[in-house]
Amino acid sequence: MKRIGMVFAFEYMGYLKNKTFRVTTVVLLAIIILAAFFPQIRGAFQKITSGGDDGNDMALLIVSGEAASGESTSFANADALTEITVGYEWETGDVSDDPKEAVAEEGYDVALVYDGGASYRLYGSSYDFGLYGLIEVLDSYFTNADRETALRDLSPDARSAAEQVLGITVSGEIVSVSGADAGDGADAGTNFFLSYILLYLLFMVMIMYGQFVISSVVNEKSTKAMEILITSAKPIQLMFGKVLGVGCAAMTQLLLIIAAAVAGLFLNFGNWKEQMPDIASGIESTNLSPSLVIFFLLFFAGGYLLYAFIYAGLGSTVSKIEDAGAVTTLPQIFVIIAFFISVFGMTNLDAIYVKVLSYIPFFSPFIMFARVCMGEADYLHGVIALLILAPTIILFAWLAAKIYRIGVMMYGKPLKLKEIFKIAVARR
Amino acid sequence: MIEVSRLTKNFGKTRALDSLNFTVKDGVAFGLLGRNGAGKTTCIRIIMDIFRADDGRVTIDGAPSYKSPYKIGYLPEERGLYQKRVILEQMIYIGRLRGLSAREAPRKARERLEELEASEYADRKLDTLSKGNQQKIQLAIALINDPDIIILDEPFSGLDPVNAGLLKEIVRKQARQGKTVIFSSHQMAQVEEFCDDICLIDKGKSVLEGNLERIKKSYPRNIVYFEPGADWAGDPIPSLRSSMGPSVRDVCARKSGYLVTLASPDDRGALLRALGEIGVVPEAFMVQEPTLEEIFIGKVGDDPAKEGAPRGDADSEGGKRSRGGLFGRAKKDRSGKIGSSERGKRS
Repeated sequence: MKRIGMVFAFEYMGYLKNKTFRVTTVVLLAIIILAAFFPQIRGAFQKITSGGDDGNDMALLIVSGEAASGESTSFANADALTEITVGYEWETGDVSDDPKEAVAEEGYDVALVYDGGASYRLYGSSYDFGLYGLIEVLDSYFTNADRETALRDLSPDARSAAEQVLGITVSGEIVSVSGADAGDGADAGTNFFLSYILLYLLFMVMIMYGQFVISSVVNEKSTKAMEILITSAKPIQLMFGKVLGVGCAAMTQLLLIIAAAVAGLFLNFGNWKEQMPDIASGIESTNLSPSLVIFFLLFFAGGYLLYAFIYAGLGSTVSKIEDAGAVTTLPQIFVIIAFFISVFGMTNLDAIYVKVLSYIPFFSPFIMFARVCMGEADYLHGVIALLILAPTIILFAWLAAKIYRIGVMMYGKPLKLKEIFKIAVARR
Repeated sequence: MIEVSRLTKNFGKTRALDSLNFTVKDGVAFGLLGRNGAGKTTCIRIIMDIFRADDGRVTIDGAPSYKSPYKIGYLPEERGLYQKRVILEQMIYIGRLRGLSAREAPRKARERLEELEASEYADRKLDTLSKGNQQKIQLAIALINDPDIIILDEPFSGLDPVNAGLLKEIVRKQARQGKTVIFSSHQMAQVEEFCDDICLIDKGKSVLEGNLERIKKSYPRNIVYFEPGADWAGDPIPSLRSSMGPSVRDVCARKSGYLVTLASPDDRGALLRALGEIGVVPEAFMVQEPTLEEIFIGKVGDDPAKEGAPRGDADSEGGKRSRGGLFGRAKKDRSGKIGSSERGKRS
């Protein structure tokens, strides 16, 4: 145990002192902080791309037909529209203007033809998805304006009655029913955003830090440090110390990133709310309970350990980092499959294959975590998956130690997976 | 006492060790000698419990080597450590893994570096050092925890003469302190002067084992080297041949002396008398013992009787190919000549 601690400390400090590791951390932090300021950056970027003006799309309003003459349609004017439509700068066109031409040739992004009555026509590029939002805004603006005009013509009594009628609104509230058999499941739907982020972190850790474990093992072989090491400590101590050391280095990096992300979002949340309301409300509605945090840490640690031991065992059989790919592809495919099932399965967590896979150790850190996080499975199922995961980790640590013991002294041609398997199951 | 008995190890179809036996007494410098691929490193790795033997065992004072309570210092053949880490840091790490306390480890590390005249490298990264200096660091690490038994696998390869001398001094010092030193080598000239006992391995088997002095003495003492001295001019070869007849088998000139192969060690007196007759008062006259290198080549070198054995690598490394031939003969005729060389100066 003491030796595992020494190896751990040596490995961990090695990462903290390592220049590449530090630079990567700083770069990642910079990216995260930039991302937290995404709304402002996007705004600035739009200003630049739209040629120095305030970044608004140009829109042409053509009032024609009976609306053109009537005083009652004065609400259809460019200033009013510019006010209510975010991101559009309206200009008033002439009745004789051709809206198609205006969009196709004169540099307008949209053209609106309003001739009174219950309909108007919006001309624009079919690739412009902004039109769907715009038409919603315009619909309600014209509807309200029409109604107000109509109300003005009524007698006072009739007007107040109508106003009452129009004032009735009904609004709905979403009540989640998944994770049915207890209140202790996390809140589905609202946690979609959180699940996605955490799953992505998990995926990154398994792939990136798994690579750290492998290169650390292979490096000791290729620099020939291994022989000194395995005559100074037991292979299993070296392997555990290394896996934990890399794990903690990973944790340190991750916590820094998470802290930067949280701090960045917190400081800048006003801008997110204003500019990207969908994501902001996703973040606001996230329900991060303490038990969910514990689950995340357990699945995170369990998943990391399981894959790290596999990587360490397999990595010990190669002597050059270039050869590492040959043995690590298989576990990496497992990680990728687990990640994609958990991400794509998030909308369909009821599917039987998702349920089954969520108990299988190689997948459970992703899939069961997703299910718990989304409130699809209650905590009991999460605990069961963890109870299956734990002995699997021990089994694979044991197998990996056996491979490690023999693998570290093997130089030359990398072993095939079949040969490695033979070593793992051999009696001595 | 370290006993290696019936040690057998196969790698796939290759037999690396074939029932190897030898004994290392306490407090001696023991040379495990053999050509490249003879099985030296495999044997050492089994002693270090890096590999397990297929058969046979290694015991230290009767107990299996991997359960031994003794501290073992080990310099592997494959040398290397963390290239990008500070040297002192690595030394402390290994020292700690080998059981030194957090307080002792830095002190011992500095002591060892000082002994090896490498203190200035303590705070540098390993990859900033030359290969020879990296090797010194390795040696410092091997000795960091004051081991009772020191195992050095090819300790001289890569060292310049000054550093090789430094290493020899350290090995001698350790042996004087009663520690057991085992080292392997294929460079016989390097290890000759401080081997107490040797074991010569060939193809995984022990072919010669015992005290080096005694082994040398066991070779026939019929080869004599003499130097006639600077004032004596002339060629003694024709007169020696004629005066001694069949008692002289061979005479050959060396740089400042002559090497005479006699029919029997008893003819040494006759040789002295014959020299006196032609007016030579020898400045040097001594029985020529075979060098370790000659014994080595005689045992495992270029020998057509051994199927397909290629010329020894040791040969080429010593740059003295001509000897292989001589000892090929020596092998075939054990009681006869065991060698001649340009070695006069050295003895």
